[in-house]
Amino acid sequence: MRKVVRRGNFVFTYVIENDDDPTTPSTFRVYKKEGDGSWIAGAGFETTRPGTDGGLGCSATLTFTEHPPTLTTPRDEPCRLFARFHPLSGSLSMPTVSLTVNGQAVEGEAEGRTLLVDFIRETLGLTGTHVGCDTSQCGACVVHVGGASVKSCTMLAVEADGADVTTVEGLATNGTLHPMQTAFHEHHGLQCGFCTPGMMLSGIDLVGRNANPSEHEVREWLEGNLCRCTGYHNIVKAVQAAAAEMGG
Amino acid sequence: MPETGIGAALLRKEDKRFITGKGKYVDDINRPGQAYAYIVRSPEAHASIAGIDASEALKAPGVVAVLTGADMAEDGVGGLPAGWGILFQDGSPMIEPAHPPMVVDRVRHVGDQVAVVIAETKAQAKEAAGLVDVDYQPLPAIAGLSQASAEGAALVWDEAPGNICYDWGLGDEAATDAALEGAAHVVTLDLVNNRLIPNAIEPRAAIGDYDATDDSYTLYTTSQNPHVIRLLMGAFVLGLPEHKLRIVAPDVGGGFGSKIFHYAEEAIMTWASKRLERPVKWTAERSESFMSDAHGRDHITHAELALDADGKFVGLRVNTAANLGAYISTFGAAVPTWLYATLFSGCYTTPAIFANVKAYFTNTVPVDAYRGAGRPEAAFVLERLVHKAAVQLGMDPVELRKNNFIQPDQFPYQTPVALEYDVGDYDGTFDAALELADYSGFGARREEAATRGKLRGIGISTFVEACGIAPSAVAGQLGARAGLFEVGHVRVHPTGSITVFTGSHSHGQGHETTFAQLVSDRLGLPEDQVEIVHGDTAQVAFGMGTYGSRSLAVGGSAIYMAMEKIIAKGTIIAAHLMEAAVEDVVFDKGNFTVAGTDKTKALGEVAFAAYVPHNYPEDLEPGLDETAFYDPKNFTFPAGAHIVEVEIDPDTGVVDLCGVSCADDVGRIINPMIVDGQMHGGLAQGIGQALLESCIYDDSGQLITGSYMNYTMPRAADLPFFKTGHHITNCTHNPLGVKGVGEVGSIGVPPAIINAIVDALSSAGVEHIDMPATPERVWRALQDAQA
Repeated sequence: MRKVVRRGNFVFTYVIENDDDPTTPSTFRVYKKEGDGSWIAGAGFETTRPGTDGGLGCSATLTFTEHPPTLTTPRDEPCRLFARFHPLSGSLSMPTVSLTVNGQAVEGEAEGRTLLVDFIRETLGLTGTHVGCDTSQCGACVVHVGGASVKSCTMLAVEADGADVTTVEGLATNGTLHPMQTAFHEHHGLQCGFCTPGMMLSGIDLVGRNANPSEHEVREWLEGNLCRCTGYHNIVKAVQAAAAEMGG
Repeated sequence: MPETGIGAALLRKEDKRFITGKGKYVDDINRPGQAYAYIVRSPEAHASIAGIDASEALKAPGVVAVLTGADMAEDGVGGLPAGWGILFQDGSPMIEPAHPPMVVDRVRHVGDQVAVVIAETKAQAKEAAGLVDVDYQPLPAIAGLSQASAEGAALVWDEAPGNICYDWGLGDEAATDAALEGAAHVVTLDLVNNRLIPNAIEPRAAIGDYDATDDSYTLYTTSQNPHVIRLLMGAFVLGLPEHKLRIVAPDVGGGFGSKIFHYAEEAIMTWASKRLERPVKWTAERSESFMSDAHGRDHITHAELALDADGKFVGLRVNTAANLGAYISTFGAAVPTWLYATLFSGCYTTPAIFANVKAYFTNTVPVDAYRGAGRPEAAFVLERLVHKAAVQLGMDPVELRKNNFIQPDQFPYQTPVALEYDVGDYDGTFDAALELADYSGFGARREEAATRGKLRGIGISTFVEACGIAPSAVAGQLGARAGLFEVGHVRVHPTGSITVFTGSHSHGQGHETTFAQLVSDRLGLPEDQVEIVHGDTAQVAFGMGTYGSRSLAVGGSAIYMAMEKIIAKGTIIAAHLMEAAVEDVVFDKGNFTVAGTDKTKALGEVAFAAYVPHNYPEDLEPGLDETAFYDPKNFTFPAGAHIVEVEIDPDTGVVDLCGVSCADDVGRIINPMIVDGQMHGGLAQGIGQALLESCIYDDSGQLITGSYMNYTMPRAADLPFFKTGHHITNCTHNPLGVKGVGEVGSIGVPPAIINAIVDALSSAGVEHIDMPATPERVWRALQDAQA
């Protein structure tokens, strides 16, 4: 049984081979979060007080035995919060995330904690995806991951490794607007434009699942997308009009 | 409907960039070498600061600087100014405490700026902010109006006894008292106007960018009025001359008033960028928006309406306590006074009105203009009173209103509360709404609902609002510390296309389309030949910005006046080219024609001659480029009638909005599609106030509704489709006949909703319910009434 436990700045992964003795892990690996937010993985720690944490079987007092500790490149580990160690230089770098965005293969470094939306905006420079809140409520950051709408503030960049992502910049093809874009324009479904990318990407996902959504279904579906300008009136009309166009 | 020019439902020119993700908002801008700021904000509502230890933060990775209010004071930075002064009834000035961008020794609300941490990355700045050790010594906090006005209350400001900022009055108190004493009926009402948090979906952001080579500054900011920010920050806070200070407000993601004000972060970033000699960028997290964007509303009111035996309104007395928050925000003092009590005449001929407003300091975020700004509060008081009067006197609420309306032949109409309405047709607007709502069919719908066990109610609100505060001289007499004109600058290029520079700012209103339609209509060229430039003090000569539904009435009129100058000069040039007398040349649909002949010159030809003046009138300057400063003669007075129908489930208290029907007189309509869109947005915010939204502080001054998890934003499923209609009278004193539409929805609809709910619950004996009418409140009101 493999377990992952987070305690403050440390993540422990361990394997328990003997279920009768859960406090004695057979293998034990520690990741430490650095001040810059990166994670060091390694065996260069001595656990002086293992296995006494209220039945969880994993707490430890750590003493560094090497400086820097021996580090590994644990891509095979279940915990994705890791840093890559370059043995020759002794330096740590952030992991590289590779994914397809709007049909193009892209690659960039991301801290373990970097959100997909920040990776899209800051690393890739695609600023059409917006950030309107910090509680995953507003939906301004909705993108498609593997064709499904996702709030890109709820996903780590490293989780999107290998994924196929579409942002608002990828909706039009060869200069031809997507029917959802046309419908938002023709039905005055936007005012300030800030929520619009998320609204359209969310609407496209809805129409993909329900080719002819009722007013009620559109309103319910858009529960996770906030707009402060339009009263949703023309957004609902736009999504329904786009559905008719996309179905026809 | 025309396809171009005034009256056309032209699709918006600006849409393309927004639907393709190419909008350029402040957070989309990055300057070379920029550092990132994170503001350390007070977790305490009221505390003195015994010390700030930044030593650990300074050691954190990537940290460039930690700056505090003491550093600002050392550099001689001033306080954020109040843009409007209000007088006590005895003529003494309001108490106006200092408002430094970062506090020095005392915090006065949760979210108050204490320090700024600047680092190489946003994450580093945020992490290091957690290491700044601030020694807060908590003081008793004033969390709201009832605490502020309590006897022996702790003081938010030592210089403001009783926590009172001002005690202000408007109207004839003696005449009003007499009217109430002698009246056949007096209807009284106590109500709360709930505090709201504006919540534009784009959080505020600011980038300060100092250029040492010429000692100049650029501030990119999420503002509705970049020139106002330049004036306030340059002149009062940082002491920078305008020619060295450029403010850019690019695409802005909604404002609703909250982005009018000059905020501390703008000054902090501008100042810090010079100290560090590198650009400094700050973007609010939503939690910061909740505790640092100015809030709206927050009144407690006692009101009395006196009627004679025939149901004529004879007097109105209003006593309001208004919460200003911890500091006086830019227009904070004007909102509960000149933008509120002046509206108490409404659509009615009430002869005697007196309003007393006591404004209080509290340990809460400053309160300032939010969509409607004072006028929703006034309409709520008045229209709730009228509804209650109809019930109390057993009169039909339609007849009672009509019986008291100012009649079309009474305009211009001088109210007892300072305003002079120029025009209106309140019966006509009301009739349009009654028809839209199928008012006469309501009885049958109520009966049908009853068979399903539902309580159905209908509510009305008929109201007047005042837009485009003006003229500047009058506003100045009332305490405004700025002019309230607008600037329009029309540049006809040599080949005839046009760029318009406007001091208005569009953050969703669609100026790039509406203003282009104005130009197309007057100068006779297609809208795609007209570009509208706004939001950059380096490009636009001057401007007062966008608020109070002023953009078209004031900004559009300024553009119109500049076009008149273009036509006047073009006529002289055309007359010369056609060898005709100036007085014989007429301009129409883009052509200068010698009257009665087929001699004509297109505007483009005239423009070319103006820039290539080989054959040109003597003593006339080359070029075709004109600017107009337009100062209106009066406010504009949009009016409307909103009718709401609700159905209430008595078992759960859930209010279902069955119908929202609104007929408005917004003056001449330039783009009906955009006008309806503005109506929808205002309605959604009004419905939000009436049914969903409320900002709540606990007794210790902690903000309970600090995120979208607990502040209820209207969502798509909370709202119905809206029925909007119009019954227009053109404004008489501006050249376009326009009035304004930005705020009517949020002003008119809240009382209509509450009146509908009270109507639905009237059979159970409910007389009033405070906003927001949540299911719990409605259910409890029903239980209490039945108990």
